[in-house]
Amino acid sequence: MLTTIAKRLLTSVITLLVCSVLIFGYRYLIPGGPAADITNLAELGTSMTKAQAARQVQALSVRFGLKKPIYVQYWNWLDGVFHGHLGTSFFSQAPVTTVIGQRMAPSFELIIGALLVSLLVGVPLGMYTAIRRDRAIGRTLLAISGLQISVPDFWLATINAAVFGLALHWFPAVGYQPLSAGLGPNLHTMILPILTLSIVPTAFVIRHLNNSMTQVLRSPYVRTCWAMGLPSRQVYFNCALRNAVGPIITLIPLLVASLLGGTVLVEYIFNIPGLGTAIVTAVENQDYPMTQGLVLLAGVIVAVFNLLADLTISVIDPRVRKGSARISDVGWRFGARRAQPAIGLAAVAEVREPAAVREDVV
Amino acid sequence: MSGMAAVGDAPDTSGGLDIPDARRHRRARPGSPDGSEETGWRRWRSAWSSISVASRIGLVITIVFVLAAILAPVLPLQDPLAQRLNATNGGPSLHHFFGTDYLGRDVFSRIVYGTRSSYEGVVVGLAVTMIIGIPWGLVAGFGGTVLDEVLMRAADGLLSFPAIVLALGFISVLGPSLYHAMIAIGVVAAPAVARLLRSTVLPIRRAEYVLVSGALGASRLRIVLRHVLPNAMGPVLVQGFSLGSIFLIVGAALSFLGFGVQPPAPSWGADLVNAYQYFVVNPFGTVVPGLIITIAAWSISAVGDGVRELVLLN
Repeated sequence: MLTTIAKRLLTSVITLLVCSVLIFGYRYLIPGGPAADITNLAELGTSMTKAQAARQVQALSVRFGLKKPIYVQYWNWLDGVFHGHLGTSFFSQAPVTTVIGQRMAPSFELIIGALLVSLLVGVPLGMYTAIRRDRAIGRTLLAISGLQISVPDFWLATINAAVFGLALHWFPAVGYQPLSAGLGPNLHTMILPILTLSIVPTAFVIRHLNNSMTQVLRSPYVRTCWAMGLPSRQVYFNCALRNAVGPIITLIPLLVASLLGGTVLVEYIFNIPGLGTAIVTAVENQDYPMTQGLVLLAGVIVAVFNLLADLTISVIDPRVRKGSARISDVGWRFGARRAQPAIGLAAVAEVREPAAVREDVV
Repeated sequence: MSGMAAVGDAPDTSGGLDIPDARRHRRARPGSPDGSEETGWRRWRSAWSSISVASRIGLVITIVFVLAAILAPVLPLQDPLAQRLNATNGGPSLHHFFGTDYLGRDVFSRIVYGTRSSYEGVVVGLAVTMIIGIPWGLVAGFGGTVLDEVLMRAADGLLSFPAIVLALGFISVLGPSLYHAMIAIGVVAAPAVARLLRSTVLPIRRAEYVLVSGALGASRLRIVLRHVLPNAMGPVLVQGFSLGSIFLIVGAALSFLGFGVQPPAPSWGADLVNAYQYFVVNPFGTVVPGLIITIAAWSISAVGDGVRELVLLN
């Protein structure tokens, strides 16, 4: 098992390094290079001549080390990242890490809240729709969850904010109270965003659990459980659910990625001062040290959750624990999992890909 | 006089054969000796009858939307930019099917013109994805082990980001516009195509017809382009439709945030956020653009389901 974990850790490190190269590289997409961009910004307030601007570019290039070879620049940047220096925001002149620290709490509350809601609602409903898959009620619930996935989440968020906030006045449509203001006021402002954000992930959990549970319920060992005369509660929870819950564990990193994207839109609509609004403002201001830091953070969070999910599998799956199978062999990974982009929004095709799901669920 | 007639008629080279039949025989594929292989119209009809009802509905809706996008300037619509400040936030009426927005602009006309940017965005995004993703997947699947590993780790790296966050990163550098937004989305989605293509190429690589053409001395490039790629494109085509429907939604979301289509140009996403500000006065305005986005995205993915059925049939 130790070698499995070591190999998995190595994969994470390599993936993160690839991410860092991408994130470091994109500032070179700016026409004229990074220094020209800073000068353009500085130029806005002053009246600089062409020659002065050119000298400014030179000076800034030297100051930010842009004259050095690109691998030296990359190494310096990576070194800074490891020491917690993500640069300073062009706009507010504050260190990026400080801004991230200030903005983290509301976003994490949203993401963790929505993740909990989607698991607490999705797992029972996923089980229920699998058990009642031949009845009208099971099919109806499944169809509703299918609809939830294909509806754009930013539209749902808008409608929720409008109906429950603007029209009914049950919750504030915009605004945010930090946790330090007390749990009551905080929840009053956060409950609608959390519920809104959890709609799509809940549907994902329902559909994935339904899928794996249906397969497990048809399996010979569940038939054996029935034949042994076990009470239905024990069959469903002890025999079936335990074996069906694996895909949900591998789904969690995907949900976190989806929620990270979703918070951008939900925070924008409900006007919550989190990481999502931070990135929107940074993009509006073309403040790329800020966006660079935020994109890196998102990548690290998803990579960490991916790692945690795989480690959880290697602990709870006896085939991996005893070293007789690799993580990628146990069939808990959905083929669609990595191959689905744009998960930040409604990934319409995700669960509808029966071929991909079938080949991976053993 | 007979010479004059021959100028207009095709020279008789059939040697007494009935030309139309001869042509049909020539076009017939091996395996259908009577030459009754389905072609043209009949082929479309049989394709139509073998896909599900949902896919048919999706196909019709998609065709209608694409036609609307192409024909918008010649359709008898009101000017989507003309403001009527005495008729703002109006409900649906005979004159304005979907009402008017906060500047008194006709929402129906804006929705119809919005199809242009929406589908344009999908096409741009898909083009970028395919141009990057197909070579990526082919090289990974057909290149050496080390190259494969490097390219797939890079794909993992790119795919582990939430797409919209990475797209925002690109836009912050390139500046906000529909094309930049869709290029960014296309780049973000490319590794998904690469992964899929690689997994389809791997078994084909060992197929007998590939080995045979290698033994006959065909170059690697020729094998990949003539034999591997055409046989591996089916799944990629199907995925293209799912990606198309996702691109439509993501494009609308980026316009919604203000980074896609720039005002005052009509766009579904930006119109939705504007209508939201006036929800209490005119709730209908918020419902329409979202519903249209949903229908359009669903239709594209329904067409994709139909294409998958056809790919599986063949």
